[in-house]
Amino acid sequence: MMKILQRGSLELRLALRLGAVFLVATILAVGLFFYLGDRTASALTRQNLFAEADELALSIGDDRPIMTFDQLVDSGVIAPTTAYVIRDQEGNSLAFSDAEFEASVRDVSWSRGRAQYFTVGENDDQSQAYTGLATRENSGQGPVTVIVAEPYNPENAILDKMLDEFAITAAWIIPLFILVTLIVGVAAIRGGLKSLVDTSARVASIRPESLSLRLETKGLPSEIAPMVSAFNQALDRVEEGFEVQRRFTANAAHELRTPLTVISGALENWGEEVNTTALRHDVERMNRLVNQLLQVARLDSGILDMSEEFDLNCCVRDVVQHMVPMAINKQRTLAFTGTEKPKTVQGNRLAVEDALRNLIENALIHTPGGTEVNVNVTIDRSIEIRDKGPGIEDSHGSRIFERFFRSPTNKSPGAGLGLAIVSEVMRQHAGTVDYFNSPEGGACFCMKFGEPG
Amino acid sequence: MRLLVVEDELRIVDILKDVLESAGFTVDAVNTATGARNALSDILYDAAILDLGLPDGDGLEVLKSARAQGLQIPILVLTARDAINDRVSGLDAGADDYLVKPFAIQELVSRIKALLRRPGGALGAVLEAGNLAFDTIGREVTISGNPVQLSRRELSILEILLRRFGRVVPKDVLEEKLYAFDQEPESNAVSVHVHHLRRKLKTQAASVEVHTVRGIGYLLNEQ
Repeated sequence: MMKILQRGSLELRLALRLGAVFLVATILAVGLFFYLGDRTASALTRQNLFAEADELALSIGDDRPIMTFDQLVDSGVIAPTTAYVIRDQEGNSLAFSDAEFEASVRDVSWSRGRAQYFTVGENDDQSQAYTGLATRENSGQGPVTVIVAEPYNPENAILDKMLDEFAITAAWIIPLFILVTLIVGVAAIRGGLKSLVDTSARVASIRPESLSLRLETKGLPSEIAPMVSAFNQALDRVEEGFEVQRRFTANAAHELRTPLTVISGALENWGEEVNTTALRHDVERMNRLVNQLLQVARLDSGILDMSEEFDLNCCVRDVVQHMVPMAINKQRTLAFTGTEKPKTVQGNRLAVEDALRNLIENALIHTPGGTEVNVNVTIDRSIEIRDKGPGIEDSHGSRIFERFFRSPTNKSPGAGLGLAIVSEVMRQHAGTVDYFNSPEGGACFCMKFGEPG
Repeated sequence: MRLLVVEDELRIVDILKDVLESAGFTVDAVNTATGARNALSDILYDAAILDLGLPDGDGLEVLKSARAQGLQIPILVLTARDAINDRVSGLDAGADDYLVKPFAIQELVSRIKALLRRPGGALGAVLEAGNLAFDTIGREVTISGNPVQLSRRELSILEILLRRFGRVVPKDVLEEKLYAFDQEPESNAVSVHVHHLRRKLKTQAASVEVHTVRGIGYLLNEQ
């Protein structure tokens, strides 16, 4: 099935031009046909008139009277339909076929040595119309003017009728012909442009994580190939830029984490004589901030590999399992509920884990000591994180997912990046994150993944 | 017991040496991949701590070549990179455990001790945590030196929890270890045993405590 030609497409442009060319060519061909047909028809008539004029002149002998109309017809000099007038050099009529015709051609003569064609009675419905020839001939009685005419021409009329019939046929055959040619032409154009369309499809599939893709220049039209290889070179440079960005992220991680390890190690090692609790909290906070900044950088650089398929249950269970020691340190607990059947999600497991970790950290901060934070995987492919804290103020709305948003009443440490990360991770997974306050108290965050496929 | 620390950040080396030495280990430190290769082939250490980002090469290569030469000792990998691939390739290359920087120093010490307590590990047969000691050969548990009577299944559970001290042990792992394949565990058997174990630890004033992580399993840590 052919797609409808799109506005502004190369295909449409070529097809329109092709159509215009066909139209002009057809008009020219038909015009030429009619012109030639017409000319041939009148040439035939004229030849005929000349022949009759010659015959008429020859029939005039010096020793006998000019034959009558009937005699002329009988002897085959003229056709029964032919009208004629023969004049002498003074312009006196020597003979004529009928008086009416003689009267109607009184003004007609030959001039300057050339035969003269004429038509008479064309616009007159009453009298017979003629097309004829006035010429000078030599006869047995000296030079005479011979005027012969045929009634307005039954033979030509047939030819005209034939031409008309043909025109009517052509009138619908030709558009049909143009249409068929156009369809064939468009198909041919489409075939010729296929390599271009394929190339565009490949370009469309280029993502920040698949930057190593290059376009095939083989088999492309030589007009397009240079553009494609220039595009490939541009991709080289973009990939290089991304690579620098990737390296920067990895280096930043290393460079920031090493000093943090040193500080936290030193604090742990300080011994009992100094109270390091506050400092440890500071380091922990800085640690979280560094991790979050790296997560943001990773998400922003668009290099997330979304090809992994994983079970939400396994992913959430792992995260919960790893966060339990931290929760117990804070005198809180974590609980996990999964689904019986696996809930498979395609995307980036590490990023989902980061997002979930942020939500669990928040929940552990806000839930009161001694209570439990529930992390559930639900049958509609969501992860729920329920705490027993004060809940979220209604006035914040979705602003809590903006970067660096901090509630004025929130006194817990944090830069306001966690929820922005969650929101971005879910966006990249074609999912959503939302929250509500449970009727029994506490906030519930819900990371909902889209349907697979 | 002698440990090798391979780490190029000198401040971290200082801190690790301090903590590990005060935990009773003898510590050698090298700062390069070459130094690590030489040290590992010259001396038979009881365990090694290996940073992956070294100035003259990748720690993973050191790990692979050491394993290729038949070195069996527990090796704990440190990495500042948190990509899951790094963790997986570290474990594939023969690491026994890994920690992502920044890590808690005490966490590292307990992980190293756990590695050394593994069957065949250098710490031998007695698992210790707080005031609790578990002789894995004599199958005896003492709290502050006083023997505690535990059932066979309670002993098994406590041993697994001790070997993974401070980390969550999934319930199905406990079930697998407690019951043979043809024995179908009663649905709440493990929780009943844990309940008894917890009560006994409490009445004996143990400094360790079994925490329940609903939906996942159990965790033993110091109060």
